[in-house]
Amino acid sequence: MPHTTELQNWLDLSNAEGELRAEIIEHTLDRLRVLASKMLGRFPRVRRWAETDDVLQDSIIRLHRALAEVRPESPRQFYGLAATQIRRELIDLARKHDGPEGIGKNHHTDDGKAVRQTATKSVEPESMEAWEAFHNQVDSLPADQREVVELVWYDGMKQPAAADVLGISLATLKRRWQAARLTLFETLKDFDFTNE
Amino acid sequence: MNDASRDDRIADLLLRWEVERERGNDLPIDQLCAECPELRDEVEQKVEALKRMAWMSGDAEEPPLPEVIVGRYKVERLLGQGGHGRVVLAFDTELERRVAIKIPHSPLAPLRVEARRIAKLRHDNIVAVHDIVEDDGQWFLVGDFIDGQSLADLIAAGPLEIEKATSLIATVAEALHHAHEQGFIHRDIKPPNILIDANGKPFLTDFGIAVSTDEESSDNLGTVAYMSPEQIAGEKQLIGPRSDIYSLGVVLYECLTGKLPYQVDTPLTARESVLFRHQLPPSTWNGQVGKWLNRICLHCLSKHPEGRYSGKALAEALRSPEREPFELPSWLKTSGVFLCGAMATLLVSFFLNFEPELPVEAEKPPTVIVENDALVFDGSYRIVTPVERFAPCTLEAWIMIEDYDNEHPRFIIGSDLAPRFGNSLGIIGAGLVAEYIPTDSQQGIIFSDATVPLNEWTHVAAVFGETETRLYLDGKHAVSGPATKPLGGTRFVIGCVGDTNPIDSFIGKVRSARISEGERYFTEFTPDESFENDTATLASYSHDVHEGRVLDISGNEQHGILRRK
Repeated sequence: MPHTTELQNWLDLSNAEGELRAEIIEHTLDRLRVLASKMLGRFPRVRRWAETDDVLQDSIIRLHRALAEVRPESPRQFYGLAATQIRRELIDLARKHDGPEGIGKNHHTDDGKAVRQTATKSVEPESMEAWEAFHNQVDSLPADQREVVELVWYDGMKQPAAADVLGISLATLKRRWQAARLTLFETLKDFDFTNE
Repeated sequence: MNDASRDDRIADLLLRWEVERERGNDLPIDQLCAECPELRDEVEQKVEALKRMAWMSGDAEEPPLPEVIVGRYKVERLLGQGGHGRVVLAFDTELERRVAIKIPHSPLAPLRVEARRIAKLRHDNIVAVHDIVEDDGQWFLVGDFIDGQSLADLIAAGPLEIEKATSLIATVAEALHHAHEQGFIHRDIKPPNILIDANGKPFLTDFGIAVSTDEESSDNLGTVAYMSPEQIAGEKQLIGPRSDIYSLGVVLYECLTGKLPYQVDTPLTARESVLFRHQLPPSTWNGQVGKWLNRICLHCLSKHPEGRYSGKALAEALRSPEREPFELPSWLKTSGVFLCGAMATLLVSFFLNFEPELPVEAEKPPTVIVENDALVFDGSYRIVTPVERFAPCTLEAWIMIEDYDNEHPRFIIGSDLAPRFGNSLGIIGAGLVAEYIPTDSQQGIIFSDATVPLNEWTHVAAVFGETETRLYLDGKHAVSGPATKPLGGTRFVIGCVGDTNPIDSFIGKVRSARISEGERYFTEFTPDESFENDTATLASYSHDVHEGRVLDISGNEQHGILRRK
């Protein structure tokens, strides 16, 4: 039976296939690096620190440990968990770089130079506060939308692959992905992006 | 438009906008909302929001195809792509043959484990996967290249010949049976996944690669149509080999008719139909489909898995030597007429024309009122059954009337063929009557003293026997009269006196109506509250109305067509 088979493969995977497991974990850590640098990218000096300082390293180690202990029952569960861990680490990073005592407090951003100069202004977070709000808002999304954001954005999966993992059609996934972005927009639009 | 459908509509428009944008087209809002200007402002607002959230959409374009895979497979061209990945044609430089290579979208390494299992699946009619390779972080499934076309291409050209369709589906059913025995379920049986080589040999492909297509799995109309009810309902415990048989039943239906079992235009209605509605038999659309094949097809499409065949049983049923190759009406089969050439064509055409006509698309079916599980006849419509008039027969119904008509007869079941009477059951004034076909004249009505009560469910029956015609009211013998002449030439109709003579309509409710072969009642009896479907039953109708038809619930597929008076 495929369900049983799939599950069994996953259980086997969690117990035995070390190489495969390491590969998935490595992919997840890569995503954390990519997203952390995306988030910290607007703070060039912070990014430089983050690449070398303990903050990101600690996050990576924590994530590795968390994933290494996981005994997933399905790809869906595993990737959902990985995304949650990534998000937590990113929130943690945002907090550490924000606030009165935050590492990035006295450093300038790139003044939005990285933002595409289009007629429509992007609402990509440019402050740690906005990033934290973004990650928290993802947490508050309806479960079906949150899962899609986790796989597509946090885990960096292609949409068809994410649809496979969730067992839904590509069309359904696109709908949820769209609904999630519209909800997140409502959170982010309240941040003032013009004066960062 | 209610809020939910308004939101759905907006979401559809936004998806369309995004798809176009992914293709590089910035669809103007006015064009996008051309058919629904009332949604324009809201759509524009949301499009703006999505543009401002574009930074989240890093879903990259498809990477270019590799030129060579693992130094051995030289990629020639893209064969196709879908939700699960791309398939390329490649040349195996070691074994010097062409192969098809699947490049899954999914970076998920775990699929490799499943793929290794699939590689062990071997059958003459299943595309073999014989290598799983990894190159630069991407993994590939190498399989046989079938030089031909898919069943979808074949069906696109129209329905298949009956023999071809049954033979092909039987072969696929055997392949499925083999896979099921090995513990595999395909889960995504549909025409594009059945390949046909140059010799017409079918091959099932994509086995198990579509790891999870069930649950709410699709908003895609093209996919949901093939999903079993249990897959759509997310009833995981019911998903098994017979889910594949359902899908194969849909494919068989499509092969025979060129149509899907449900004529729907949205995924939502498709899901509803699969879950709750019965299908019209394939013969509705293709007169060459015999009853035996209707039964097989509809058996595959049973709502519950237990009601379906196994793959092996389906193949056997389709290949059964006992099937009737082409069902002719009994008078044609026994007439001793030697059918040949144009004569045969003419007779067969005649027979085909005798089948219930398809609903005329330009004419919407009449609106039928169903109240408390009964059809309410108000004189505006009638039901034309496909059952040709014959005798001996028994016509009966459960009816309720509210008043008497002292000017016009009211016929419950009729088969009048003007200017001759037919075999009919009706009410004149307050009394139960039967029409019959006299041997020596054109007119024959048998009157009774039995009064049909008002506002009570009443069982009425007319037995057109070998030697006499008998009328029964609530099982009590009302009257006997002369026997009818066994003449065909028209069909039984419910709700008026005859198909070609749509007058003297019945006004009242009909809970059920049944047409049976032979003399069902010889003596007084207690009527069944609901009619059993026994061997004498030819057609049985209740309030089950679907797409302009009243469904025959006897299983004999004698569905009635709703016609305006």
